[in-house]
Amino acid sequence: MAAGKSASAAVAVLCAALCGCASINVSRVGKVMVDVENTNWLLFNFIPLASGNPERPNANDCRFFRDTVNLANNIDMVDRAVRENGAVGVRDLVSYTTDEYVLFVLLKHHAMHTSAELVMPGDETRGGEVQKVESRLIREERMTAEPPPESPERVEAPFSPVWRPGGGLKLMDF
Amino acid sequence: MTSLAGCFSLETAELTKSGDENVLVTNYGWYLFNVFPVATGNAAEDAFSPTVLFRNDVTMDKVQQRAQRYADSQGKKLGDMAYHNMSSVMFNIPGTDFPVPLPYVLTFREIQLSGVLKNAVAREEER
Repeated sequence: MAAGKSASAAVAVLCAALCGCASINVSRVGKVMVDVENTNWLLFNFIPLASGNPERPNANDCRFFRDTVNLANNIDMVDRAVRENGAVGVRDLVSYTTDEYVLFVLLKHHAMHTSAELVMPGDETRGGEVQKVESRLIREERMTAEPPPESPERVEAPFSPVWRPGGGLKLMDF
Repeated sequence: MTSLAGCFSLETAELTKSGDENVLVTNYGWYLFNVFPVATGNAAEDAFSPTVLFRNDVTMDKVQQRAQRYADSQGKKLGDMAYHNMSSVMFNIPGTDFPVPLPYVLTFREIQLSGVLKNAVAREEER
C-alpha cells in the first residue's frame, strides 16, 4: 500500500517534470548574437509527451502530446528575434540537435538549437554573406500583402520546335 | 566533488597562412532543479578561483564578453561567431551511464562560443 502510494507520487512528479521548453536568448556584447532552443520529451523515441511552445518562448509554456521541435519552428523564433531587435538579417546561421536517453529508448529528451549573429542596420557592409531569414510566417504575410499579378508571365519553353523556311524542323535553338 | 565543479576556459589557435585566430570560449556548471546555480566556472577576468559557487556565470553575455575582451586586447575584430550550447537534465549515477530516473534535480549546462579573429589585412580586403 505504502509502496504503491510512493510509486504513484513519483509518477506524478515525473509527469510534472517532463515538460518541454522553448527559449530565445540574445546577447548584446559587441555583436548581437541569438541562441534559440526548443526541447521535448519522447516516449520510445517517437511518441511526443511534451514540447516547448515556440509561439510563447521564455514563458515556461508547454504543449502536451505534440511535437513542436523542428527546424521550421526554430527559424520562426530566430525571425521573431530579428524583428524584436530591429535587425535586417542574420549571419553565420548554425543549427544542431542534442539528445539524452533514459533507460535506453524508453524516454528521450530531445533539443534543437539554432545560433546566429543578428545583422543590425549599418552593419551590412561588412564582408561575408548576410542571410535574410524568411520564415514561414513572414512568407505568408508577404504573400497575402502582395496584389495578384494582372496577367500571367509568358514562360518560354527551353526547347521549342522552330520551323525554318527551306529547312527542316530544328528542335533546339541556342 | 571536484567533478561537480564548473570550469571556464578560453583557447586560441592561429592559422599560420592567413594569420586568423580561432577562439573557443567555454563555460559549464551545475544547477539545482535547473534554476539555482550550485557551481559554475568563474568567468571573471582576474579570477582567484576557477570555480565560483552559487553564482551563474554560464551565460551568453559573460562568455561573449570574455571573447570580446580578448579580441580587443589583440586589436582584432571578432567574427564568424557561433554558439554551441548543451544542457543535460538527467544526472548520471557516478561511475555509470545510468541516469537517476528523476530529471531536473541536478542539471548540467554548458555554453561554447567559437569565433575567428581576423587580422587587419583580411578585414581591409573584405571592405
